[in-house]
Parts: sequence; structure tokens; C-alpha cells
Amino acid sequence: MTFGHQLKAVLIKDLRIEVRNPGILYTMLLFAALQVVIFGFAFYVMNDESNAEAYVPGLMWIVILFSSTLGTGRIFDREQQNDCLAGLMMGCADLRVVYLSKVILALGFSLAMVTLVIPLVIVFFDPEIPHMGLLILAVFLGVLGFCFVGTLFAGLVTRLAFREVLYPLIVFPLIVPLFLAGVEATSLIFLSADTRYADNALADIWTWLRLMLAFDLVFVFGTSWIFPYLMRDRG
Amino acid sequence: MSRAHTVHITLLGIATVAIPMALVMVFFYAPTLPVSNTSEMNGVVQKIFYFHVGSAINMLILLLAAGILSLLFLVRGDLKYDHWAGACADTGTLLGMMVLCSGPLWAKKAWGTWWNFEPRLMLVLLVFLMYLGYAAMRRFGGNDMFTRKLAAGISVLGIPAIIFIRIAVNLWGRKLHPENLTSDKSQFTSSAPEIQTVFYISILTILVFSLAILLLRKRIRSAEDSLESCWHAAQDADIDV
Repeated sequence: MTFGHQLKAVLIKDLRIEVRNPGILYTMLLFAALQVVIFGFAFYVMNDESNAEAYVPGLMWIVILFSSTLGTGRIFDREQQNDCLAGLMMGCADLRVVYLSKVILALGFSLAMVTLVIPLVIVFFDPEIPHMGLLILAVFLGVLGFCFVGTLFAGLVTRLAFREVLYPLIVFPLIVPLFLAGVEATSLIFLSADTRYADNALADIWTWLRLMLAFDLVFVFGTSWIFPYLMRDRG
Repeated sequence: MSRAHTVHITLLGIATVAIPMALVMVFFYAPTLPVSNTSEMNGVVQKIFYFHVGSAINMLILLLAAGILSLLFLVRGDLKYDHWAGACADTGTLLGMMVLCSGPLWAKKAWGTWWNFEPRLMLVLLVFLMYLGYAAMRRFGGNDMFTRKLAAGISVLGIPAIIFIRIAVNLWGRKLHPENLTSDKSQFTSSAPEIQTVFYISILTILVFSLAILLLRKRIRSAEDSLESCWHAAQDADIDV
């Protein structure tokens, strides 16, 4: 069995469980929609939509951060019963198979959540978005980085007491630099709707996107490399 | 064939005939009105009003019924009420989806914006999200008595919010939303008698359609429960299933 065969087998198993009981995906989407509404109501100033561009980038990334945390944090919960994770780890020659399968699952959930959040933000706040492609790229890079880091720690905290609260406490500080770059890029994208900034904005947006790309490369290879070492002595 | 089956098929038959009829009346019988109460421009987009308001009124009726039936379930403990309440809530949520899809489509043309954070819109959206949570609870929370009572509790606590939607517009004053049709002789009721007729017909059509769905959902819920109790009985009797 090559790495690819193993990954395919484990991934099909994971997908089958999620299709049979789509609880994580459903609650994640509902939570995201609820947050857009609540944050929208909290930040909205009646009859003054001119400053929507000022708070919408931050709002959007907070919603993505919280919803991804909710979904990714429970990604290993299915393996808790009957100590499935131990069996899975013994069955796979390479522990990265287990990890990558969960990352792909988390990425699927998060991308589904993002495809709900972005249209909701557009419908609720009606911001002008001149570079839609760049916005989607920024969000994708943010979500990609989160899924790798989030899945790593979701696997690690499964045995801890207080894991629901410990998980965000560990993951948020790690992921904040990436998401801050995302917020900066997004606000520049919104700002470039203004003709005064349009010329310089594109170069600045790419600076932040390159920073996100660098973070993602570190997260993708770093977490994939370190996962087997951290999980081996989990007990 | 049981009586419920006959009623269900009859309702579906009426809805099948009534929906095309209502559509024809909406587009060819009722005169076209200004796109909103703040606009002078006539527009065919105003026709969405018949479905938007029709769904909204039926949604409120069904969700209110879900709340009352949940209360009855909590007091009496009869599973029959739980089946009806669940079916009412599901159908009401479906209608809520219709309201929330048709609303922004109309608003974009009439007000120039998809969404406005005014109290009525917010309340409808929050009630809709609450019932999505209710659906999640019923679907993923397990099937035991405790989860059912918890869901019933949510539904009962939703009653004030639903009543509040009805009075919110009058309470906060009007911003963009057209005023309540019954409390005011607004443009929709005063300008032409055809509009009133078509309006009530569209409400009735959507009511019949949602009752057909409601009945279907109730029968599915009852069947699910019967199946499960059969399975438990078989297990108790040590029959291999």
C-alpha cells in the first residue's frame, strides 16, 4: 500500500462517516450564519452604511476564525469512541495519512462555510469588491493555514481535560498573524474601490498575500512533519 | 388507504391546480403597482409581494402553531403533539426560507440594497435561525424524550419572538418596510379591489401547499417513531433484525 492508497482508504472512511451524520458541517454553517447576523447587528450604525468597508473585513475574518474553530476542533471527536484513533494509528504505516485525511476533511468543511459566509456578507453589507478573485484567494489562504494548524492541535488535545476551551487558547495565538494579514489584504481590497487608492492598492494587496502564502508554506510543511512526532507518545 | 393519505393527496391535488392559477392571476389579473411605498416607479418586481407576504403570513401561523403544539406536548406528554409540532416547525422553516430569498430580491430593486438592519427583518431572520437550530437539535441531538422536550422548549420560547414580528413595525415606526396591511389602508388594499382578491388567493394557495407538506412531514415523523418502537420491541423479544 502506497501513501496514496492509504490516504484514499482513510479519506473515504472519513467522508462516509460525515455523509451519514453531517452534524459538524450543519452546526458549523448555522453558527457562521448566526455570527454574521449578530456581528452585523452589533456593528451596524443605523442609516450610515458609508463606513461598512471599515468593519466588514474584520467581521468576516472573525466569523471565519470562530466557525473554523468550531468545526475543526471536533474533527477528531469521531475517533474517540472505542479508541478508534489508536487503531487507526496502528493500522497506518505513516501517521501523516491520518493527519492529511483529517486536514482535507476540515478544509472541505471550512470551504463550504466560506462559500456561505462571503455571499451572506455581500447580501447584508453590500460592500464594493473590485478584486473578487483576490478576496477569494486571501480567504482560501487563511482557511488553508487554519486547517493545517487547527487539525494538528485538534488531534493533540483529544485526551486533555477542558479541551474545548484549551483548543482555541492554543490555536488562536498561532493563527493570528496569518489572519491579520488576511484582514489587511481584505481591507485594502475594499479600499481599492476608492479611486484615490486604486493605483497603489494592488501592489500592497500582493504584499500581504505573499506574507500569507509564506505562513501557509510554513504551516503546511511544519505541521505535516511534526504530527507523527507529537502523536506517537500520545498514549 | 388511510384517511390521512386521502386528505394528503387531496391537498396536493388542490395545490397543483391552485399554484398555476394564482401565478396567472398575479401576473395577468392584478394591476402592476409601484415597486415600493417610497418609489413612484411601476415595476413587475412588485409582483413578488404576493409570494413574499403570503409566505411570511403562513410562516408566522405555522411557527405559532408549532409553539402551541410544543406547549401541549410538554403539558400532556403525548407524542402525537410532538409529531405535529415538529412538522409545523419544519414547514414554517421552509416558508421562512422562501421569505428570506424573495425579500432581498425585491429589496434590491425597490430600495437599492439587499438587506437593511431594521427590526422586522432582523427578527424574521433570527426566528428563522432559531428554527434551523431547532431542526439541528432534532436531527443530531438524538431521538429520546429529553431531546424532544428540549426542542419543544425552544419552540415554546419562540412564541414571543413570533408575536413580536407582527407588532415590531408599528412599534419602531416605519423605515422601509411597507406598513401592515390590516392595520393601515395602505396602497395595496385601497388602490384596486383586484389586488385584494389576488392577495388573499395567493395567501390561501401557499397555505394549502404548506398544509400538504405539513401533513407529509407529520406522517414521516409518525412512521419513523413506529419503526423505532417496532425495532425496540423486536430487540426486547430477542428477535434477530
